[in-house]
Amino acid sequence: MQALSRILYAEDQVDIQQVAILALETVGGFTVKTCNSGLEATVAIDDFKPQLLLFDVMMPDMDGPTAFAKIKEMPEHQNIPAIFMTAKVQSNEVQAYLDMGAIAVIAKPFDPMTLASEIKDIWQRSQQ
Amino acid sequence: MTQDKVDVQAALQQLKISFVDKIPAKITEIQQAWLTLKKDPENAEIKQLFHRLTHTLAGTAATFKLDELAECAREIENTIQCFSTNPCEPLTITEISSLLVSLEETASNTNISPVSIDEKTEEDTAESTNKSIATASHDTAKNNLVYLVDDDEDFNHTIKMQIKTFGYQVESFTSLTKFNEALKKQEPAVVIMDVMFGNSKTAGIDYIAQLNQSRTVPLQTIFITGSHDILTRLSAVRANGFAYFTKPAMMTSLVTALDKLSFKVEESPYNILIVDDSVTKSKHAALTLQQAGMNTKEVNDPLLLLNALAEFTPDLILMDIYMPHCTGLELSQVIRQMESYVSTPIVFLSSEDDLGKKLGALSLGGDDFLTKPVKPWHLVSAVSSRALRARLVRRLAETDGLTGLLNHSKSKACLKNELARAKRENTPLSFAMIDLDFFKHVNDHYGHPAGDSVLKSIANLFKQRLRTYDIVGRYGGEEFIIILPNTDLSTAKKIVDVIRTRFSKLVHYCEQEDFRCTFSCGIASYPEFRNEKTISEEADKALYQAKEAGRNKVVCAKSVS
Repeated sequence: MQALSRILYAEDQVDIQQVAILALETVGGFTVKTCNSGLEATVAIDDFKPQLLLFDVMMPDMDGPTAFAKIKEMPEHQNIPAIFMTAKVQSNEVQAYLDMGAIAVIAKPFDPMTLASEIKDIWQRSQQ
Repeated sequence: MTQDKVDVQAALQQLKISFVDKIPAKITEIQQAWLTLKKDPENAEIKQLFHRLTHTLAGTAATFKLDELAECAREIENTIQCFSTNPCEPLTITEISSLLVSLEETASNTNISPVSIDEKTEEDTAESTNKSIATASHDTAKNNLVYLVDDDEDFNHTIKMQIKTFGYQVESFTSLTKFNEALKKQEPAVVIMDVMFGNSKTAGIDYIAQLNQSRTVPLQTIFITGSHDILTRLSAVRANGFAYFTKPAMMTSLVTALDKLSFKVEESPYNILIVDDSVTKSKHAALTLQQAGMNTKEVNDPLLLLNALAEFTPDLILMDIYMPHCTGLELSQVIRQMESYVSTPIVFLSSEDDLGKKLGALSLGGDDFLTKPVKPWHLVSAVSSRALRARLVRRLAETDGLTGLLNHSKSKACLKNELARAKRENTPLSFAMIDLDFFKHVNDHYGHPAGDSVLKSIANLFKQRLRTYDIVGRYGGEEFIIILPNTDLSTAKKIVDVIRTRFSKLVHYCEQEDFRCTFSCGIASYPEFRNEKTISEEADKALYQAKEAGRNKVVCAKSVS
């Protein structure tokens, strides 16, 4: 099984981005490429070659689910798994994201001290 | 707790503080969107904007564990979703309007307490960081309890009232026994101790000396006395006395000494500008410096340097040597050719280890050369020692010697910068012009030393009562200015009125006589007035009106529209 190191992260709020970068880079030791919108993520993906997509749901200029759907249409990236982050964790909504291929939905606000280990766990489960 | 964890906590705390600073601007943005939406409820674009703004505020506030604020914003977000389905419902309009009011209130009560709950760090740091961002003074920040011990009851009363006007909490005692009882219950920040009690000429000093023998940390003591012979002074020093004043105590010197002891005048953190084309490297340096308590701004495109310089007014520039478009050496020459930054230190960061090249860099205006990789403590000490010295030098050039406030030209430059910032961030700004009433009379009647002491005491009061980011300058002889960023006209008036009342109660001493002074003030605000010229002219006009109306007043400039 391949260890997780490269994460493509999309979130429109700079303040949340910074907390997440601390959580993922400093605490988790991942290499993270940050994008301000889903649209940016669909562009950045070619150069960055991530192993995992971590997308906020609600963003201007293309939301997370739309960006994920676009990426799934790209032949070279169609198998990259995605995790969504959202404040609205209603079960029907979560199910809709899982149905479209997301491997997990993480509730916001996340805990910066445990976010990385949560993602590692999800990654390991998805690789089995 | 491990060191790494502590570092992450510290970094999180920094992020939180910078978010809290931005809350008022975010709320203004939400309010403006709401005003537009109320006028035009069918406008889908504005509706979406309003929804997104409240959504992101809720999300970010929750991330920083500002739960009340998050909840408030979330409630508005949920209500606006109902509004979307039923746009004409007047009930919803009232509901959102009242929710916005409580959002604003919650925001103004938002405290900066540590982000993450982990072991006992929260308890440890809560006290030092739990500073309300809304209060316009230092009152809540530190232990400000002062014990005043003197057997002269009248003297105690006068001094107590005076010190209180400077924001201290004072308890007075007429006997050493009562003082000792109080000491056992609660430790003060500072003790002001009379030297003579009863027949003993040095009872106060002896008592403190005795107390200190059984203490690991001596009591911070200021002695006051009627005599100033060398032997008494010597014994005061031996009893760890911090300062020694002869009666009638000069209030200004006494308060300056109190401030030093209780750390009430805090140095604002150093502003460090980091110029490096690599985002990762600049962020790393920024985090290291932030953890040492400094403010940082990163510039990753060297061509954007000029804007950053003007907006951020750095104490020091940390510069990478090799960058695209231009080199750090070229950039430092550009900086050195600008008069305002002649003395700003530039420290180069590079993997260069050729001594000749290093010396070349220094001859082009650099101050130091750090070879990458730099150890964090090395970076912090190289930067902070130079920033400190640069700040001292700059302060000499920019401040008024008597009061320590900004001088005329620096005050004007600050107004220009702050106005530009207010426009950019879409926040209000108030500008107050203050003139002492009948000051010529003070100088003529009580003499210039007494006049100087009045000027010093008003300057002290401003420094005490205003927030660290407010700017105070001495504009001319007895004329002062205050710039209050992110403060609207009515709030500014309240703040200055409090200072005006306190100042009018302050008693100034001159030889055998004592007297009081007052000031008049005119305030004008942005966005009512939009440029430096009109804002200062209007404040000046309002000041004139305050004088005409009988002085000791604060008058607000009214906009024409």
